[in-house]
Amino acid sequence: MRRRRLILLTVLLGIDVVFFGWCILERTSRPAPPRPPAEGIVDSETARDFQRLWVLAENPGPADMLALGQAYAVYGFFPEADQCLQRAIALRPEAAANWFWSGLVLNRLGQTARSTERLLEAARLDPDRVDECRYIAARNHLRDDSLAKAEDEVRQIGPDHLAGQYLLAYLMVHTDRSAEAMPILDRLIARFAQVHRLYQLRARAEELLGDDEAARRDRETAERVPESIATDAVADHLGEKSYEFGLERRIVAAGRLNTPGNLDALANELTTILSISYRPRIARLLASIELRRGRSDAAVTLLKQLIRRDGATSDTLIELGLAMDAAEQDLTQVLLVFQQALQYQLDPEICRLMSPFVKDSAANVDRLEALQKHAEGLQAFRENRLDQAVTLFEAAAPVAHQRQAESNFFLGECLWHLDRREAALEAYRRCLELRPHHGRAADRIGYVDQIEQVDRKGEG
Amino acid sequence: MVPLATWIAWPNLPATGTPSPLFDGSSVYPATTLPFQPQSMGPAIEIPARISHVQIVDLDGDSHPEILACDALAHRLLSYKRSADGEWIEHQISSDMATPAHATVVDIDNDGDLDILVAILGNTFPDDSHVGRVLLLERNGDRYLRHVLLEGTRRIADIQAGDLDGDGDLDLAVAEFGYARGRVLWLENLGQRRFRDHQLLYAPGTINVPLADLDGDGDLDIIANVSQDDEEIWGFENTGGGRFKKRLLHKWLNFDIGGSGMITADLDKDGDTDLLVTVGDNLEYAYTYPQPYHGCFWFENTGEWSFTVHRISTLGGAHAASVTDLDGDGDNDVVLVSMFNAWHHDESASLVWLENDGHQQFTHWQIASEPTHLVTVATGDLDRDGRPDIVAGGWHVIPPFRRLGGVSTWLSGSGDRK
Repeated sequence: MRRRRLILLTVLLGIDVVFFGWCILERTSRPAPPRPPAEGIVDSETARDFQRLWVLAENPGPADMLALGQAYAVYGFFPEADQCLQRAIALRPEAAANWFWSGLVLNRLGQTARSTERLLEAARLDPDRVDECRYIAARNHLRDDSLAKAEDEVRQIGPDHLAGQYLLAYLMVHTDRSAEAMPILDRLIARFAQVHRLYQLRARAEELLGDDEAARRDRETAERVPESIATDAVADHLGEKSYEFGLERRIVAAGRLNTPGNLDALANELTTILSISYRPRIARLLASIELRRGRSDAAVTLLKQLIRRDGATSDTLIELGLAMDAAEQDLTQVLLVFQQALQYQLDPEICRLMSPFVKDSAANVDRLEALQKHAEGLQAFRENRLDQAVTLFEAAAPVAHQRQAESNFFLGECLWHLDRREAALEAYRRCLELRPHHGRAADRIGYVDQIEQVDRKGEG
Repeated sequence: MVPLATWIAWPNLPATGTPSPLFDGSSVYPATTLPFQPQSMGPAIEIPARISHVQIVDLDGDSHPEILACDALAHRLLSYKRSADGEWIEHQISSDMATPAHATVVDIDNDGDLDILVAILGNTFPDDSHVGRVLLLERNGDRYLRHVLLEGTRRIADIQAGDLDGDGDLDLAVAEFGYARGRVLWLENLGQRRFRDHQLLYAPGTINVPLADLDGDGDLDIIANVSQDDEEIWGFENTGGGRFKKRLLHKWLNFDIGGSGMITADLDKDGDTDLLVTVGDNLEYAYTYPQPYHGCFWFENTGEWSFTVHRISTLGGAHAASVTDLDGDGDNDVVLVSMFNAWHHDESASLVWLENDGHQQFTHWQIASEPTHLVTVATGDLDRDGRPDIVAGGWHVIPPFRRLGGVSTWLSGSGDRK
């Protein structure tokens, strides 16, 4: 009896060992999550975050493999991200986010057919993503030169998805169906009147339909409406997600320290971040914090280094000028920095900042004020605030400065669009008197003559 | 016991399996057998460079070619001249130029020396404001005098000079790239450095405006490579007296294609001017990856403003091309650079040449995988040994920031020429 028990126990133990041994072997034979060749490419903070996510993904919970895939994707390791997201799908096929992110990553790898398949599955699982998924899928089809499939996809996008509706109209205009595109564009413009690309596309359609005058009007309107359409959906998603991982996440966390009582802690944290990896926007932020802390010399040093590493821009030069002024550096040098900033951008703010430094002669003060009015006028013109722009250009135009001709031209443009034709012509003529080779002013006058001839013929 | 031990160990069991192979979309080619000697110009690179344009030109007329380079980071125009002992010496021609994008060397005032037209972008990054300029650096002895020929425009990417209205002086074609809005212009030379601007096309994103007699009627036409909202190649047929007829030569409905450059050349040596167009721009992404539709197209001129488009390269992230007989076999080969290959892989190509078999069938050969992020390339005989050399410029605004380069040369050696 005892012997039979012993045999039974041995058999059971043997079965246990074989069964659980097989389970352990199966378990350990699973592939490890991929590791990208990150050394020397990503900073130490991001590398640490990769390692943390990698450990979690080795024995993944529901979202761990997705998180690792996203982290790899936002730092450009797309092949590794692809593999993680394939596994995320295998682990949780019911999660739309897994399919969606896999679709985005495959889009970046140029694997358009697989990307489209994944995106459409994401759309099936998550009704809120349908339009966006179809839009990216349509772009994938265009990347494969499959126009019919792209159009089929885009026709299923809802009327509220501006980029999708724009794409539908775009495809029509560019495949000799401008007449079909016009009602779509008219409807979109009625709803999104401040989006310049709609006017530009309608102008193209009008030109193709032979209506050059309407095309001209729409192009002129496109100059005066400020908004655009977000058509880089994949880039936008990757950009937004980047703030959740690596050094970018630490930067976001540092931003929360940006309160008046916390400036020292914030400056320390930003200095540490800069020592980990040089980021121009962090250098600029740190310079502004140093200025607020009364450490203007440190701000000047940071901004000069920023210019050396990232090039001069008007924004950086403005900040450098302000820091130099706060550090009580030579006023002539400060003025030179602001003058340089003006070369990069005609900005009324720069003119305002310069004004205390140019009190040496009344003529210089007048010129600078006129330049400021001109710059403000351009801003108002671009935002279609024509009445304000007229006032500003009228103030700028009489003063003898280098942009006087240009002020008169834009004054003419504003008056023209306000239907004050005679006054507009006068401004264009003044522009030509000052700069006889001003092409746009000459074109305008020629155009007005043309219209008047047509009008006279009509009356005759 | 065994189930308990397994249960305890389960979460910590390591993953030891072999992962499936990763997707690899990088462009890698067999190494060239042509001998090249790579060299970096100027001081060692410590900061990611932004060289927007390079060319090989004899600026001072001493029969020794120089390299002319636009440095968009330090906002200056540089030349590299070889000294008697073979060292390349860097000279700063002009500074404080608000992001020079392109330089065109031409005797604009017909006084016997070479002046330089500089396309001023005004801002490296997307910007729709009026920050662009057309600058003239007028040569005066050993100095250059600076004149603004056109301002109050959006970002200017290219300027080319030629007699466009047949009156004997040099006019200009201008690519006002802008950002969301832009134009193609021609500037009529009125004398005394005064130019009147005429609009040819209203479209954002024009990169290049080369001039060539595309229809063989004896005058210069303008070609424009537009790459922003639309991806199109436009021709402007010169009909005489400063008039142009607009012709759409080609368009891609794939507006992700990323038009990046265009040059003119008689690639097939049949006596007319063809176009070479590179596609591979990815600047809208923080991190990039080569795409299967990137590469280079040869627009074979078949006469009467018609072109047959051949895809001759699939180089990922292709950004610029140059045509020369690199292997000395009598036909035209093509040199290409990549800005957006898969730079995480050390072997991804940044500089390749396409060997022409004499019938415009091309074989890719890899010359270099570093420096990365090359955006501009030129060929010419830099060392006066009768063989074409290569110069390229790096534009490092997108990671990874390693294997950096500013202006680099590859001098062709005298070994096996395949």
